Amino acid sequence: MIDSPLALRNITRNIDKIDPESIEEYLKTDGYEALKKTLTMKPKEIVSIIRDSGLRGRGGAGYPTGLKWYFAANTQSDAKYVICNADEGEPGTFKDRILMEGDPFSLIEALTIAGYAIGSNKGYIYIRDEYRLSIRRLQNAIEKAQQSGYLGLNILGSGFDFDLEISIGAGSYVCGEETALFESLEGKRGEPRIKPPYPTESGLFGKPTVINNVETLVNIPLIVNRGADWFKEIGTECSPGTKIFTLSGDVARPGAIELPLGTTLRELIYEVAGGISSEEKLKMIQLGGAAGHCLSPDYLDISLDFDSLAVKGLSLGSGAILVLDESRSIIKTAYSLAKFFCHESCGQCTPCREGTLQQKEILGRILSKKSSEKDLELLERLSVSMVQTSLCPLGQTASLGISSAIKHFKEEFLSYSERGI
Amino acid sequence: MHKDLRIEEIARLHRGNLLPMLKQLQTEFGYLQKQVLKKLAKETGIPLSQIYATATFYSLLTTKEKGQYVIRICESPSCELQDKEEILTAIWEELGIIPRETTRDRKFSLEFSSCLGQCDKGPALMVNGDTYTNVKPSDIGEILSRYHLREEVKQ
Ligand SMILES: Cc1cc2nc3c(=O)[nH]c(=O)nc-3n(C[C@H](O)[C@H](O)[C@H](O)COP(=O)(O)O)c2cc1C
Repeated sequence: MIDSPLALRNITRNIDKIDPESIEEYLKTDGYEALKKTLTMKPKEIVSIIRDSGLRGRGGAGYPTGLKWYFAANTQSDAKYVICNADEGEPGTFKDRILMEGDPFSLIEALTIAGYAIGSNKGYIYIRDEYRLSIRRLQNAIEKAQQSGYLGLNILGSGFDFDLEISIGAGSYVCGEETALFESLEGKRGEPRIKPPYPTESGLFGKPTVINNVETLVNIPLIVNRGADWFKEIGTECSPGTKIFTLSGDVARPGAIELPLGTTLRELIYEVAGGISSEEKLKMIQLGGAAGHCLSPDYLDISLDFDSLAVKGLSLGSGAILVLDESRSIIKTAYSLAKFFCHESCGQCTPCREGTLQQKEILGRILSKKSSEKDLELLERLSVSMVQTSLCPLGQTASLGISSAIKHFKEEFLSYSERGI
Repeated sequence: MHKDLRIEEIARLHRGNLLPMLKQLQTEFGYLQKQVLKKLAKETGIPLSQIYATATFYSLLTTKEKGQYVIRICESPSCELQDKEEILTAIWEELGIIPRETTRDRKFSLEFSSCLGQCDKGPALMVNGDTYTNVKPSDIGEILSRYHLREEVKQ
């Protein structure tokens, strides 16, 4: 975690402060108080608190968490599931890893509360294979919670049964997309499903399912303990709470930091991360991960919250912030993005499978200075088709980083095309 | 045959859930040979085409033999900004392989990986399940020697 006077320590309060393998230490810092409170209330009341808090998903889409829970709670079914999306594969993002490594019990408590709220007895944590330390810490936390009566049958004598299982991925970015994740959990190729039906109606094994990101979930015990009003005082009116931002690239102090939503890029880069690490000037910021927009320094004063960004056609994504200084090549970064999406496209739908391949080939041509000006037009036309016709958000967003880079750094692209040499 | 029995056991253990079966088979047999997949299809009733399609979908599963230790270098934009090329050179100097190659003694394979989630500490790489961050070209010799050593201890 980056040390900064601006930092808040709400969801990150236990990180580097308590032994993440000790349930005793977790209990001493209000651990499991929220679950105890939950079990004295009606499931409906818990859903109401979360709805009132205005908590929105931290996995990228910013969907209201309480609403998701409400739909799942009100769907009748013999089985329902809660799933934690811990597949964190968005380039530039490492917030969920830090949360799982540093405070695994909070996540487990949150999932148990979610299970109670929607009427589910079984949860899964789907985690990428690369996160070995997170996996070990979660496994340990689940075992300790089971031994202490916080998971399993008749939790704390309440009559509520809930258990958790860890499911480990096998190297695939698209499996972080919720419906692809269900397919993978069911043991198949991770190909996204067509929506609707939405997960709250038909998710894992066709049953009503709530799926939330790690960071979303760890807010739950705090909201239950401290109340929706406490939560709404942080952040902005429509984006309450904090967000973990992960900074990488040419900043003096890269790392993760928890800040109120509504912080500006300027504060993040210059106050928190200590500015640019070299003598060079700031050139580009990519906001939100590989699918995020590549922005020029003109955007430094935008407020990082869901709505202010949506108004400008931007997205907070995972909260990843990649910073490049003037010495860097935008074309190389664009090519790197193109390579990534080409590799990670699942191949199911044509616009994404062929589009991501063409993006890589065209940018390869540009990078080796073998392109013509037409190639930029081609990339832009390709982007429109991919956005409009791809089956899932991977294909719909795989061109955004590249098209925004062309928009804001057109001169650099032109200087690489034949006319410019 | 002992191997066939083991495939039957693994198929039963995971009750129709293909991905964990494939992961366990790979852990035990090194990679997913054609014969293993065929036997699995017979055992589970899952069509071979579906088994093969799943085995080839995931980056961490392989139907081809690889080295005992797979070095995976992160090629996300954040790590690309660090001295990734020099790391590749250092590995070439130590092992004589470039990405997608395996050493002749089948000890090491070299691959690229999508983001490893260590973006503030790049360049990052993994050797099997071990993660290394802030890797400098001069660290490569020492990192690799740990795996050479492990072999000698075993023998
Ligand atoms: C290609 C792709 C990858 C995704 N990867 C992740 C991921 O690694 N972790 C995550 O929480 N959400 C990821 N998402 C978003 C999920 O589909 C889903 O919106 C999220 O898990 C919902 O949780 P939330 O409401 O708590 O944010 C991804 C989406 C797409 C399209």
